[in-house]
Amino acid sequence: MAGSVGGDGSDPEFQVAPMIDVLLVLLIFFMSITTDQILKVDKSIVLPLAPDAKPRKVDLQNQVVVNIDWNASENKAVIKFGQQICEPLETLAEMVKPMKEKNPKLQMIVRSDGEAPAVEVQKVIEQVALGGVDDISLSGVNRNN
Amino acid sequence: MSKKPRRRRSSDTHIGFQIAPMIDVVFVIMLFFMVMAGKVQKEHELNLKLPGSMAPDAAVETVEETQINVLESGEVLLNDELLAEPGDQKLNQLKATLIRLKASSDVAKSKVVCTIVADEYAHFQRVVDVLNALSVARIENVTFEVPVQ
Repeated sequence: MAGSVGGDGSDPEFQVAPMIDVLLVLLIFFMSITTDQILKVDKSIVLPLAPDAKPRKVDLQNQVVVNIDWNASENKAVIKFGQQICEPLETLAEMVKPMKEKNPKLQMIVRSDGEAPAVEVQKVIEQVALGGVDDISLSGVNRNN
Repeated sequence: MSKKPRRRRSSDTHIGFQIAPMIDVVFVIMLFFMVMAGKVQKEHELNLKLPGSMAPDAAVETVEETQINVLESGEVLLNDELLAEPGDQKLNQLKATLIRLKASSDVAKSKVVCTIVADEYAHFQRVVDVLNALSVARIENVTFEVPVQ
């Protein structure tokens, strides 16, 4: 930002255009960050650490997420497909199947708590496979907070 | 303290735009974003390939399968050989072995197929540790199974 200073020693003037420039840059920054994280936010799940894995490619058209929220006190996993809780778990395959038929490129992202037992993840993968999806990726994070 | 400051008359006040504080604020915002950018938690992906179907007349390529066991205790075994103790999160020995395996299979132009066999109650974090090691070795044909006991 710069104010123009007259050669005659008058006060600097406020320039609107550079101000708008800066605001637009900030706006674009926030827009790009928001797009990057739109699938990610589910704070109840503590994802496992995987620092050497490749960063996830965001493809909102072809990706769907299933969340496995491990409740250690009840020794129970809550499986959510979008906002819908899969109870019983077999409903997951029923929900996935028509989506796969509609979009053959469908990729399933499994986001599970690091503390969850492997068998819970296996059950979800089994249901996803029954739904016809073979492109599955497990989520981790680059660092712990 | 007893004397109250006099108010200026409104006609004397000149509210002009101050460049210096504006630049200050912009720099502070910039610094904030620069610092926060390094601390952003990003999501990474670890891909699995499920066994699929193939045409009956297609040529069958024989591959050597490597099995990695993840025990409930946290121990990791590669083809029944213990390569990581429960506390070993970095799995350096496993990574080194997998890198050698990948290099030798590349030379032999063969495919490495890896199956992670986890105990039912092994922590998912431990499975991801192994997947992370496979990712370092650039082994992409990975499947995951939990034998029901």
